[in-house]
Amino acid sequence: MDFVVATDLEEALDALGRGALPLAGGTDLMVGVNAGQRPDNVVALRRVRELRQRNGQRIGAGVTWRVIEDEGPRALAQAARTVGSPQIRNAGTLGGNVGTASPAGDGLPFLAAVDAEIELTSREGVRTLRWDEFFTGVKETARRTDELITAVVLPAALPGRQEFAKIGVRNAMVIATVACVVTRADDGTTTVALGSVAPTPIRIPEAEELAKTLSDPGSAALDEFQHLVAAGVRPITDHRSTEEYRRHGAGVLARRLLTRCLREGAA
Amino acid sequence: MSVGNSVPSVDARVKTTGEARYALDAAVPGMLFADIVRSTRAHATILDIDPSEALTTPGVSAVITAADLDGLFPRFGHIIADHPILAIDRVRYYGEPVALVLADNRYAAADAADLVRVRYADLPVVIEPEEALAAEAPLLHDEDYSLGDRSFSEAQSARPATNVAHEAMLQWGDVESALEGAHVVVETTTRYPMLYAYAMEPYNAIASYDEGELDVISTAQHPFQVREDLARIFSLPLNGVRVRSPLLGGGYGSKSYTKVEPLAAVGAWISGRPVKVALDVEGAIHTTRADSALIWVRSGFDDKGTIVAREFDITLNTGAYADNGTLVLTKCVHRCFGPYNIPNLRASGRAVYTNTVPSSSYRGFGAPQGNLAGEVNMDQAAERLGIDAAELRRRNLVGPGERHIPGKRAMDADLRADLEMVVKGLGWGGRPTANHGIGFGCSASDAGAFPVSTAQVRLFADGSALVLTGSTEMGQGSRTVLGQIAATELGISVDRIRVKQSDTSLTPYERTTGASRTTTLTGLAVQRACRDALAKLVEMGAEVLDRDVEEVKTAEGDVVAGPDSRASYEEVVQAWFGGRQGEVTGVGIVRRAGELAELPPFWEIGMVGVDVEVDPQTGVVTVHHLVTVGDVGYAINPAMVEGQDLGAATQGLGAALSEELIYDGPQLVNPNMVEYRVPRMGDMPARIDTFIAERGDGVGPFGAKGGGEGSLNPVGGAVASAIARATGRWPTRLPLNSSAVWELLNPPDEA
Repeated sequence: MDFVVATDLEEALDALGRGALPLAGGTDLMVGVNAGQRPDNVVALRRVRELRQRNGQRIGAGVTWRVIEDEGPRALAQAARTVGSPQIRNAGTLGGNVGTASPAGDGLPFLAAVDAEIELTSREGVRTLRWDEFFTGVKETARRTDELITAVVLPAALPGRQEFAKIGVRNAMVIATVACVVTRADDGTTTVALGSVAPTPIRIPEAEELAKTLSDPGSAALDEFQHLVAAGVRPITDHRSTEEYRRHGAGVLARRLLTRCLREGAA
Repeated sequence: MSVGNSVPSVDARVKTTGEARYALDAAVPGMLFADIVRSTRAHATILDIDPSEALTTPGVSAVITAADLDGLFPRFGHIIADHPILAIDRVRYYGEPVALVLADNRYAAADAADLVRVRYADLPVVIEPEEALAAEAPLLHDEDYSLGDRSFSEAQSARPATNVAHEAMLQWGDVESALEGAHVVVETTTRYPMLYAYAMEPYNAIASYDEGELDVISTAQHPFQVREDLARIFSLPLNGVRVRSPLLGGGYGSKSYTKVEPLAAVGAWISGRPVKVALDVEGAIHTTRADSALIWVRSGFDDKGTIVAREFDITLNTGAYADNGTLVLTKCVHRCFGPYNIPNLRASGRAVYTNTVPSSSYRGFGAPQGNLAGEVNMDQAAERLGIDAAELRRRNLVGPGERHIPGKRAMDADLRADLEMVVKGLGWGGRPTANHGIGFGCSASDAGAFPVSTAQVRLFADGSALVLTGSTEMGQGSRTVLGQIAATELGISVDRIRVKQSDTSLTPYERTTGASRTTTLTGLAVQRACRDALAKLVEMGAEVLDRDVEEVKTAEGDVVAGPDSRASYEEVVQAWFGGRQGEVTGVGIVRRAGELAELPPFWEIGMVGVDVEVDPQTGVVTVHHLVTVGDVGYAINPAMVEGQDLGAATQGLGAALSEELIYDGPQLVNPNMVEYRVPRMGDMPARIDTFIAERGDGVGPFGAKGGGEGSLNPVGGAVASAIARATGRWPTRLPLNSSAVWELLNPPDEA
């Protein structure tokens, strides 16, 4: 097995060009290794300083959950606090979450909610893909194997109100059964994004349209909003939960988060 | 007095600093590391095993299969010796050990294990007992392996030509006629989940085989039971097998009986070098789990709410090999119906072989499964009868000194008083709040196991003392508590005493460390050993002080024969032997005789309650308040009693709300600690009351009796009933995670 510890971006890209698998915090890759999936070529990214930098709305791919939970935007920080245990949060990175592209990735609904872009760097240059161009399926992305996820780029202005919540089988260290982010801007623009209820993170445009017209946290139209969210997701049944429960839970979570946003707005 | 005080655990410092030595830390010069090739089929004939590629891996010295065990007894099992050390011609569950790879380091062993090629021919697979009991089901075992040990007399042999590993039945009276005449008959069916008793230290063992002696250091709770299995495998006398259990990183019953010790031992026997086998959590889950259960119960009551009859039918999924599943079933049969006056009873059940991980003991074994059915049934009956659930229990609970099972020990507890502690603690009977529910339940387990314990106390020439016992310290605090008992008996300070445990060559015999027996039975053995040592010391003191034995007694670390005739223990020992030398050894023996003639040695009481809130939209359950009662007769170390109760109840909450091993087809989908979800700190109730009831009614030292399992047993039923009261719907299965609760509130057929 080839194992390279890259100390700068150049070395990392060289290794990727030779077919290496990128290793960030290792919280996904090492689980696979322990389960017998043995990659024969790995490049470790932990010492690549460029990846750990934050610059305005550009979050380096190697920034850990531990940093994000203190310094990230509100809903992403809320999501960060639900990732694993403190030890895992000190190792796991936002870029790793994006690269693994698990349907249950805790950071992904936020990226969908704010229309984040994923920055990919290779020997051939830098390109950025919008989140919905990047995530293509269950653990599938548009990243070429020679490309490194170098950053997540958030829009210059983030919505003033953002809320994250997830349902799992216990209160910590749990893979989400349903995860949801709702954001709301001062002009009423609302986004609704969910995780664990489709092959990729998913937005619910119909519900967003309706939400734009709402301002009263007690509005009867919230029933319709909840229904649109439930109708808009594409969950499956597996050992963690059922399709029906995930669909229902998506609606309930989105409604609760929207209500929180509206209450805050009213206050 | 040392007993009665919360003396800090003697292991606390070394465990906190990481200095504590566990079996996993044991190393022997020249040792090889083993890795296990596990079956990738749930049920198959082994066509051939090709180790040639694995043997080319640098550092690999051997690949061992069942074919290499010629001359050995190739199976183990303390009741039914049905468990092959390595699969013989056939695998019966996914994950079963097929071959053992030995190498210079564990990485080489792991790499080589992947290269062992095994060819299988699949056989039909049965995962659920219903499938295994079907007429066309494949037969998992066709030999009678039972050993006929009379101390396991509850365990009859298997029913031939079926997949029933063991049947058990308890009955008296005439259930049918009693039910016919009943005012109300209430029927309940419940399912208890398949569980894993998560201990932080997975199974491991290191074995050496030198000069015809086998020496094993392992994670065995019951080193003397493991010794029996190993002696049988290698045809060695008992003095030719040494099994040592250092501090264990948790046990909870899962380390009862033999697990990986035979693997390490055959590795050492074949290679001539010490061999270490250390599993990860996934390997441990593929070694032993706890029985899932399907239990049907119906109970009849008269119009006053008095029980006229109860009937139980129990089916346990015991997995591919019997392990302790036979006893789990027997215990379930004895524990399902609760400590009530039941004039007519029939409780029967079967443990069924399936193509799943073998199941065995887990804290309370049999009781949590049975209690869920029995206590939910009582609560449903209360609702049907229009009688308060606490009042219904008051009317039926067996009183102190009464017998609820003919021929068994009379109740050594005041259950009604315990129940009051729980219902008062929970504020039961107050105004109900929307989406909130209170649930509680009780249980009595025939605990203590067969009473055989021996202990030695050695009082040295400097006045310090060593307690020797074969009882294992696995985090429960026996090293501390047994030291407290000895300190009080000997009249010396607890820091003058050390307790050495679980070395079959050097510590005296102990049957098991389980069934909550240590404080009671090992404690009695230690107490008797101290008294024996002091009696000898008194005789020596009489000689030293030149008095008649009748005039001499011991008091506070001295031998005393009147106001001006007194000598310390060390002075007596030194004077008697002449010089700074010598020691006095006391022996304590506990067997089924005298006050321990009746079984069980004591009833272990479980009395717990919870206050929960259900989010009706998401099904998320929050436990706000947990109440436990440790009815231990006398708390030798109150903090440890509370710790045991909290730990037990927490494991119960795990089963009630989040834990379940899930088979999807022939293999487990969640054999890891991310997807098998034990409770974490954030899941703990905001308010916890751990009450202790001390009425001096135990048979153990100072009136003590065992604790540590009881507070798990009724938790599942209490949570289920609390959720029923919060939602108006009765759950029938655990765990009640958010999906399950939502489904309870929104059944698919009502959609």
